[in-house]
Amino acid sequence: MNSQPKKQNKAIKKDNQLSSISNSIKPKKNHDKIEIDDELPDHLTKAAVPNGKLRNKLIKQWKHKLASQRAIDDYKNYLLPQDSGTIELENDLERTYRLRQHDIKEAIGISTAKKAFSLNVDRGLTSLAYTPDGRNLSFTNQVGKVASFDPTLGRLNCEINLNELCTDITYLHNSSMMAVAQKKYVYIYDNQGIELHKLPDHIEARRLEFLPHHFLLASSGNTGWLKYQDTSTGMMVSQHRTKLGPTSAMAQNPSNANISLGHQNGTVTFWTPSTPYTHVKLQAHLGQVKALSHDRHGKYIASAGLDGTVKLWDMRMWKELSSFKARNQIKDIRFSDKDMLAVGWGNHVYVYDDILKYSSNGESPSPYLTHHFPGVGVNKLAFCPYEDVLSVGHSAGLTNLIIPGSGEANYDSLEADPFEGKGARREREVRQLLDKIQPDLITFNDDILGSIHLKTDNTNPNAKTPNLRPDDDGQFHDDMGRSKLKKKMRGRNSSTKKYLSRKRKNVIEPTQLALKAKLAKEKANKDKEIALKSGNLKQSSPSALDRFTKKSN
Amino acid sequence: MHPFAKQREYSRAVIASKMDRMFAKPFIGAIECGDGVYGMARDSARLGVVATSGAMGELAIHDVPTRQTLLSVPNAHQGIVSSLAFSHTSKSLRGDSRLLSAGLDKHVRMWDANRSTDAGDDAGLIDEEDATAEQKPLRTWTANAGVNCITHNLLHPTFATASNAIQVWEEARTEPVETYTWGHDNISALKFSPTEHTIMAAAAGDRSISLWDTRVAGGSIGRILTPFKMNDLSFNPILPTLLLSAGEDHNLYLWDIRNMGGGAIQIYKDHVAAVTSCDWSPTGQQIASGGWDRTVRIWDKNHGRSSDCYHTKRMQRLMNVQYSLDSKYVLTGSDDGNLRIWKARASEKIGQMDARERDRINYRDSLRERWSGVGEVRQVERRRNLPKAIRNASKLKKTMVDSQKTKEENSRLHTQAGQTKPKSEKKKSVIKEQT
Repeated sequence: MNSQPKKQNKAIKKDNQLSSISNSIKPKKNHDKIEIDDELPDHLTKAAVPNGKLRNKLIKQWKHKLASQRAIDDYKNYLLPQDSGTIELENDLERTYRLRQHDIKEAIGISTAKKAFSLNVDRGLTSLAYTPDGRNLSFTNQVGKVASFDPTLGRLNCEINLNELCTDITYLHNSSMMAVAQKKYVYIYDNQGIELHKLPDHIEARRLEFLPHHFLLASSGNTGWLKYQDTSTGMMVSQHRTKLGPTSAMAQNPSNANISLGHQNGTVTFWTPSTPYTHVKLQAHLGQVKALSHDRHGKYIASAGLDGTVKLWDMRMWKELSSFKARNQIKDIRFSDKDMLAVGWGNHVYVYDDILKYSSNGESPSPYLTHHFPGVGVNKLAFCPYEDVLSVGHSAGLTNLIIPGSGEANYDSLEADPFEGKGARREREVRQLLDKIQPDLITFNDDILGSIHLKTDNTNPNAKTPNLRPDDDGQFHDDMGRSKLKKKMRGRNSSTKKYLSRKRKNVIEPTQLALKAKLAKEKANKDKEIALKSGNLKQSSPSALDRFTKKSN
Repeated sequence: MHPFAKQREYSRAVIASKMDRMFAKPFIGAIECGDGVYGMARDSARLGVVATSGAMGELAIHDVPTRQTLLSVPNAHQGIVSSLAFSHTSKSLRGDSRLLSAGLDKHVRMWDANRSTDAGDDAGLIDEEDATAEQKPLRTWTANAGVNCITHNLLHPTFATASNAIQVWEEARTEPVETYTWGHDNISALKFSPTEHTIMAAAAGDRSISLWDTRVAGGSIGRILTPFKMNDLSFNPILPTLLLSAGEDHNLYLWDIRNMGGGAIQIYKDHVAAVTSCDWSPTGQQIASGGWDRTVRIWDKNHGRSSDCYHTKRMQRLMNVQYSLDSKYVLTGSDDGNLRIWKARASEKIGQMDARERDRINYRDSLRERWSGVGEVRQVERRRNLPKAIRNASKLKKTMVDSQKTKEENSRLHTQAGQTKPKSEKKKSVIKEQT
C-alpha cells in the first residue's frame, strides 16, 4: 500500500534544472517533448495523407507550428508586459474628448510632458517624418526650410534653407539620410544637411514613401508616375504609369510593402514594384483623395477625400467598414501603432480610438481626444513610434500632442531601438543590408512565398483552364453562362449509337426500332429528371386513380 | 511587431545557400602512391590509416592526417596487387594490426602494419629508412587462381578471397576452410557484412549478386541476375539488411538482402559512366561513389540524385572510394596514382569553432533546409558546375534515356490495351532470382 504513492511521486517528479535549459544546447534525448493533445486536423488524417512517411513529417511540422504558436503566446504574456495605457474615466458622464492638452500635461510625468512642445516655424510646415525608432524628427516647408533634430535631447542635426517648394520629406533606413521632394527633383541629404544625391528621374514628386526592409524609395506626384529607386544600390527598380493624373495621396502598407495611391478622380490604387498595373482600383470618394493611411497590420486602410468623408476599408474583403463626415476640409489622416486614427481638418485634430469597431449608423463617432489650433491650418500628422505623441505640422510650425495609449509600449531592440547608440546604429545598418528583401518579393498577396501552387484542375491535365467568374450569387460561370466546360474530346461512341448512325435509311429493322424507342425513353426520363430538379416540373402526388392509367412499357 | 518575417527569413536563406556554395571547397590534399591506386583498405581500428596498392606489385600504408608513409613494400606481389584488407583479431583490436594483400599471382600475403606515428614510437617520427626497409610477409597463402578481391571478417580471424570461386580462410591454417562456386566466371567484388559476421555478398561477371553464409553447407543463400554487371558492393554498417551495389550501367542500386528478387529498393542515378566503387559512411546515412566518369558523388541514403559531385582537372578514373572512420572525409584512389582526400560535406569548416560561429552555421543550415524547395534557394542548392565532358555526357545520356522511353511508350500505345504494362525501374533491376 505504501509503495504506490511513492511510485506516483517518482513519475511526477521533473528535473527542473534540466527543463530550464533551452533545447538548443541540450543533447537530443533530454529535449523537452512537444506535448500536443489537440485532435489532428482533417488534412492530416490517414485518409487525407495515405503516405505514412509524409504524414508523420507533416504531423511533426504541425506539432512544431502549434508549439511555436504557444511559445509566441507565452512570449506575449511574459515578455511584453507593458500596457500602452489609456485615459481612465471616473464615471459614465465623463468624456475623454473634454480633456485639453494642459489637463493631460498636468496629470502625467515630467519627462513625458516635456515631449509635448511647440515650435514656431516661419511659413509653417508642409511635411514631417519620424525615423522608425522615433528618435529623430525632420520637417520641411514650402519655402524650403529643412530641419532634422532629436526632440528628446533637443539636439539639432541640421537646418538648411533650400529656397524652393518642398512638399514631402522622409528618412531613409536610419537618421543619417533623408530624402526631400523638392520643386523639380528628389534630393537626398545626410544628417548634416549636405546634399548627397540628386534623383533626376523623380520629376515633380509630391509624395515620398520609404520601404525600410526593401531599401526602396517610392515617389509619386504631378506626373502621375510611381517610381521605385533602390537606395542601397542606386538602381531604378521600376516605374509605373498610373494614367490617372497627378497623385494626391500616397501611403505604404507596413505589412506587405504595397504602395497605395490616391487620385484626383477619387480612386485609390494599389501597387507593387514587379507589376506594371494596379492590383486593385478602389472608387473611394467622389472627389479627390486627400490622404491615406494603413493600419500597422495591413488589414485596413483609411481614406479621406475632398468630399469631407473619412472612410475605413477592410482590405481582406474590399468592403467599406464605415464612413463619417468631417466638418471642414480634411488635410491628413494617420493610424497610430495601436490603431487610433488621427484626422486633421481645418484647424482641428481629432483622434479616434476603437475606430475599427465603429459602424456608421448616421452618427459621427465620438472622438477620443481633440485639439484646436486657433487661426492655424493643420497640414500634416505623424505619430511618434513607441511614444504617446502625435506631431502636428501646421501653418505656424509644429506642435506635439500627448495622446495616451496611441503608441506601442513594448519595443523589440532587434527591430528598432529608441535607445541605441552610434555603434549599435552602425551594426544595425549592416544587419539591415544583409536582411534586405528583394523588390520581387513584394507581392499583393503576401502568402505566396513558400506556398504550394495549386492547379485549378488536377483531373485532366489537357483540359483548358476554364475562365470562370463568380456572379452575384457566388456561382461560377464562363462568358457564355456555362458553369462547366463542354466535353470536347473526340472519341469512340458507344456501340449502340454507332449502330444507329449507320446510313442505311431504307432498311428498317425491328432491332433498330426497338433500340431507338429505348433511347428515346431514356432521354425522356432524363429530361424529366432534369426538369424536376430545376423545379420547372412538379412531381404530381400519387392519386388513387393511378391504377387505371395505362402503364407504358 | 515583426513585419515581413517570411520574406526576411527567405532572404537570409538565399544568402545562407550562397555562402554554403562559396565555402564549398571539398578538396583537401593528395598523397602520391606510384602509378595507380588499384586496391585500398581502411584500418578499422586506427583513424586516418589507409593502405593502397598498385599495378606493379607495390603496396603502402599511409597516415592520412600527417601524409606520412608508415610502410612501403615495393615488390609485395608479382604483377598487380588487386585488393587489400586489414586484419584485427578480436584479442588485439587495438594493438595488433595486420595487412592482407591479394594479387593476381594467386598469393595472399600478411604484413605487419603496426607502425604508427603515435608518440612513444621514436617520438612520433617515422624513419624514412625504416619505412622503406625490406619487408618480409608474415605469412603467405596460395589460392586456386589469381585473386580479385579479399575481405576480412571484422570479428573473427577469418578472411575470404574471390577469383572464379570464393575461398574462405582462417588465419591459422594454410588451406582454405571452404570453397564456394556457382558457375562464376570472374568475381569482381566480395564483402563480409560488418554487422552479420557470417554473411558475405559477391558480385560476379555473370551479372549476378550472390549472398553467402559460412554457417550454411555449400555457403549459398541465393542470388539474383541483374541486367548489368556490378563492380562493387557495400553493406550498410548500421542496417544489416541494406546492400549497395555499384553498377556497370552508371547506377547504384540499394537492395534489401531479405528480398533481393523484389527488385532494388532505391536506384541512385547521376553518374555518366560505369561506377567502380561505392562506400557507406560509417553513420549509414550517406554514400560516396566513384567511377569511370572521373567524379566522386556523394548521396543521401533516401534520395536518388547525388547531393554533391567532386572533380578535379587531374583526377583520372576512380578505382576506390572510402569514407574515413569518422565519416567526415572521403578518400579516393584513382588511375593517376594519387590518393585524394576530400571533405564529406563540401562546405564544412574543419577545425575549432567558437560557439557563436557554430550557432550561426547551425542557423544557416536550418534555414537552407527549411527553404530548400523554394525559388532561388532551390536553384543555388541544386546548381553544380560540372566539367564540360560530364555535362555533355549527361545531356547525351538524357537524350538516349528519353528516346528509349518514348520508344517503349510508343510500342505500348500501338499494342492492344492491357497487353503490355510498363515495368518500374526498380522491378527492371532484377532479371531472375535463383536459390
